[in-house]
Parts: sequence; C-alpha cells; structure tokens
Amino acid sequence: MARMKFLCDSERCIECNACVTACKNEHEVPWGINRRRVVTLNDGKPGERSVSMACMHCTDAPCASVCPVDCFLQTADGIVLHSKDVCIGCGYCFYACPFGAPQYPKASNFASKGKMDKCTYCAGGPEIDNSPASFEKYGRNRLAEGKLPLCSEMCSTKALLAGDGEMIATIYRERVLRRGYGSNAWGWSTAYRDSPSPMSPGNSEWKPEYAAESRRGA
Amino acid sequence: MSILRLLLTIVLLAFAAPSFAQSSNAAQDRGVHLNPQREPVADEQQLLTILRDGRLPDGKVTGNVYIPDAKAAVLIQPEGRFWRDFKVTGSRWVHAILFLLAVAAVAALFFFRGGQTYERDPQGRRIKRFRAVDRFAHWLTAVSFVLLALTGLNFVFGRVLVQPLVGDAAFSTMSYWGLVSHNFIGFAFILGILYMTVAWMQDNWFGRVDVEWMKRAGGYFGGEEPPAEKFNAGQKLIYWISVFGGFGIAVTGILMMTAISWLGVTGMQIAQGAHTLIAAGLIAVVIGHAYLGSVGVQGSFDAMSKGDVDLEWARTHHPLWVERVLSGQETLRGGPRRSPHPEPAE
Repeated sequence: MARMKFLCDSERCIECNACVTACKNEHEVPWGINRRRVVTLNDGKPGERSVSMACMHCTDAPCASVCPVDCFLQTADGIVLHSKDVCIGCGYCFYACPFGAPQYPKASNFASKGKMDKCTYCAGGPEIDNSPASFEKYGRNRLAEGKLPLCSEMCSTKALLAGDGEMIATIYRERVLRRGYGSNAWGWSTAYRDSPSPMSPGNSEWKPEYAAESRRGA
Repeated sequence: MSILRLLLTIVLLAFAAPSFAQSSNAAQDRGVHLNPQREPVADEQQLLTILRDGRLPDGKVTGNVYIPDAKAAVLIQPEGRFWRDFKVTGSRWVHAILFLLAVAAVAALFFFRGGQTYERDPQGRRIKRFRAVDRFAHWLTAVSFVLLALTGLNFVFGRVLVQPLVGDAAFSTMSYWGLVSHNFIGFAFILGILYMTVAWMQDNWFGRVDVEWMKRAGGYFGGEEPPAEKFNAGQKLIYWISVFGGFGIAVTGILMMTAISWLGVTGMQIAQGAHTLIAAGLIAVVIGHAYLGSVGVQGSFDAMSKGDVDLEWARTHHPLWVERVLSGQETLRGGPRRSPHPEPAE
C-alpha cells in the first residue's frame, strides 16, 4: 500500500504553470476554478522561489473535520476525496484549509457558492471509476488507470513529484544531498503528520485513525 | 536563520555521512554551480516558528499568482488549525452548555417557582400595550429567529445528531435548503430588529426604578414587586441584548455572505466564530424570554398576541406606565409620544 503525497521542489520549479494548465485540461475544469496554482514568493527579488500548490491530501484533513455535512472521505492511499452530491457549498472547508485548495464555481454573493471543487489527486470521486458521472463531477480518474496525477507527470523540471510519500521523499533527499541546500518541502509540516519533512521517512500508509474528525475511512 | 541552517546541516550530515565519500564533490565534478550561502526563502519551518512566537498575527505566506484571484496568492496559512478546533469542539461545547443551562433554568423556574399568576380586573377593563405594527415586528423577529436558530444549529450539530439518522442524501438536501433559507430569512430578522430598535428605544433607557427592580429581581421570588415603567429592568435587558446581539449577528452574517476574497480567510474565520458565539448566547436568552413572556408570567402573552393587557395585570407589573397612560400623558395611537424621562435637548 502506498501513501500518496505531493512534493514541490521549490529549487526546481520554474513557474511555467504547465501543471496548472495540464490539470485544467485533463479534468475539463470550468472557468474560474484552479485546482492547482503556482505561487511565486519574493517575485522579482533576490531569493525568488515558486511553489506549485494544490490540495496536499493531509493526514488529518481539516476540511473533512469542519465539513458540516461530512462530505469528505479519505482513501486507503491517503487521498482526500469529496462527494459533490453531499456538498452544500457552505465554504467552511476553505476557511479551514491551510493551502487554499477548495474552489467554488459561483463567486456570487448572498446565496450558495456552488458545489466545492478541488484536486482529486487524479482519483475521481466516490462514484464508479471513470463513469461519465464521475468524470462530469471530478474529472478523469488516472489512478484507476494506473497513472499518477498529470500535473507531476508532465512537470518539465520534475519539480513537482507525486507518488508514494516515502518514494518521493527519497528522490528529494538525494537531490538535497547532491546540491547541498534546499531541504524544505512546502506544506509537508502542515499536511503530513507522519512525516513533517521529506527528511524524516514517514509511514507508507494512511490509517483511518489518523483522522480524528473525518469519520469515513476508505 | 543561522540556527536553521545549522540544524539543516546537521540533518544533512546525518543522512550524507555514509555516502559522503562518493558524492561530496559530485556537484562540482559535474560543473554545477553551488551557492552554499543560499538562504531558504520564507521557509515553512520558519513560518511555523514565527507563528508559535506569536509574532505574525495572520500567519500566512503570500506570493504572486498569474490567475486573477487574490486569495489564490496565499500559499499557506496554518492558522486555520485554531478555527478548526473551535468549529469542531469549542463551538459545540459553548452551544450545548448555554442551551442546556437555559433549558435547565427554565425547567427549574417552572417546577420550583411555577407560573406567576395575576388577578383579573373585576370589570374586565383592558389597556392597549402594543400596536399591530409592534406585534408584527416582534413576531417577524421571533419566527425568523427560531427558523434561523434551527437552520444554524444544523451547521453545529447536524453532522453529529441528524446525519446518522437520515442518511447523506436527505441530510445534504436538508442542509442545502437550510443554508439558502438561513441566508434569506436573516434579512427578515434584521428588519424586525431594526424596527424594534428604533420604535422601542425610548421606553428602554435604564432609570432609577430599574436599579430597585433589579435588586429585588422584580419580586419574582417573593417580596413585593418593585414598580416598573412600560418595560421593567428585565425586559429592558432583553431589549438591549436583542439590539446589540442582533446587530452583531447581522453584521457577521452578512460578512459571511460576501466573497471570501473580500475579508480573507482570517476575516471569515473571525466572522463565523463571532456569529456562532452570539447565536449561542441569543438562543439561551430567547429561551428564557419565551418562558417569562408566556407561562412564566401569566397574562403577559396577551400583550404580544392581542395587543392589550388586563388593567389589573398592568397595574401589578407596570404601575408607572399605567399611571402615565391613564393620566393621558401618553397616547398610544397617533400623536407625538413623550419619553418617560425628560431627555436633554439634542
């Protein structure tokens, strides 16, 4: 069993936004919704770095915890999915998410924000794998086809890594040793309780008891 | 910063020690330019340290994005953890405790004190207490408050209490329409509160008689009832609680309807927290108010249902007001209403 994680090597990210575009195209995401985005820190100043950020699929996901209708579930791979049939678009998951991952189709004020949309780690939703309904709501289910998320698969500098947490952490550690600096993987200490840094090997699995508040397991 | 780099070096050395022999100069061999002085930029670890020290109140790291969405520029904001704990644990406890306290207080009053009875006027004379528009505003506020409380409490306890019983599909539909109606009914509530604030303020300024009334708890637990004006001190208290609570809950509620990017996530968290705390307080107060306005003090429900009350009831509870009405100083229909207190010229 693998524990799926994202890792963005900010020493390698060149802010090409290919991951953003790939994600939008693969899942036919509607206008105004960005499941993934590239944030540039210190833009134009010495020490500029870019980080590609999306849902990090946290160990104990805050979104799942605060959801008033309990629409989230976490797969045995640790991937955080949600049911758009149950979601009511209240926006609480955005308040709680450390990474700004949840997106809402309707920006209009006053009433509902529409069903929440977020990165699915290219793993669809609770529906049957790659059914038309699943594609319509959550996009393609690449994991069911044995593929990794497209954003990281097509990252030209291999800055964005996806896959089993232990495996991508090993790749990252090798990089850090070779270049001698840049040991920080953005989001890890916030998202992954078992491995706050790629420097510490984490578990290769996600256990339902990690999530104190998300009652649903895989 | 330097401590961080030291730690990093130690960590790296721990990992690198066995393989240092072959890889220590590998980068130079490959002609890679290395800059060991290169500093980590807005390091996440650094951010968390700063957050722990409390140096960064809205602890978040913000950069630039190419998409036209200001809130997407926030890379990471771990401070949501506090709000999460509040939402999942804190607010549920506050709601539960205040609600149960209010219910317990009302139950204790009912069983140990019982309803306060009154003597009817032998000739059945009645005195006008609230105009139709006053009663309409009161019931508009009351009905909308109950609906708002139910749909709002669904957000606090629904997932724990209702969802396991009715299932996902039914609970989702129910909560969706609950959310939509909450957002609409809120405006009816605001309208009612606004009317009552303006129309009843003149009768709700605290005066000397109110201090005496408060001291003896209105004679509710024995002793003679201290005289009161149109509203006694307890009623004045609930007036001001409704005014300030209603104002606070309206403002935070409207803020929560705005786009998240306007206030930012921190602002939304504060708005939600304030909204739910005020709601918990108001629900508890209103439970007490509903009891005292119906069973608790018999005869008082007529004021809001029929609009007039028994004369003897009024003489018992609001003698100063009755005096003024009967002496013609205050007319209830039309005409300029005079304040119970001489007010300073504006």
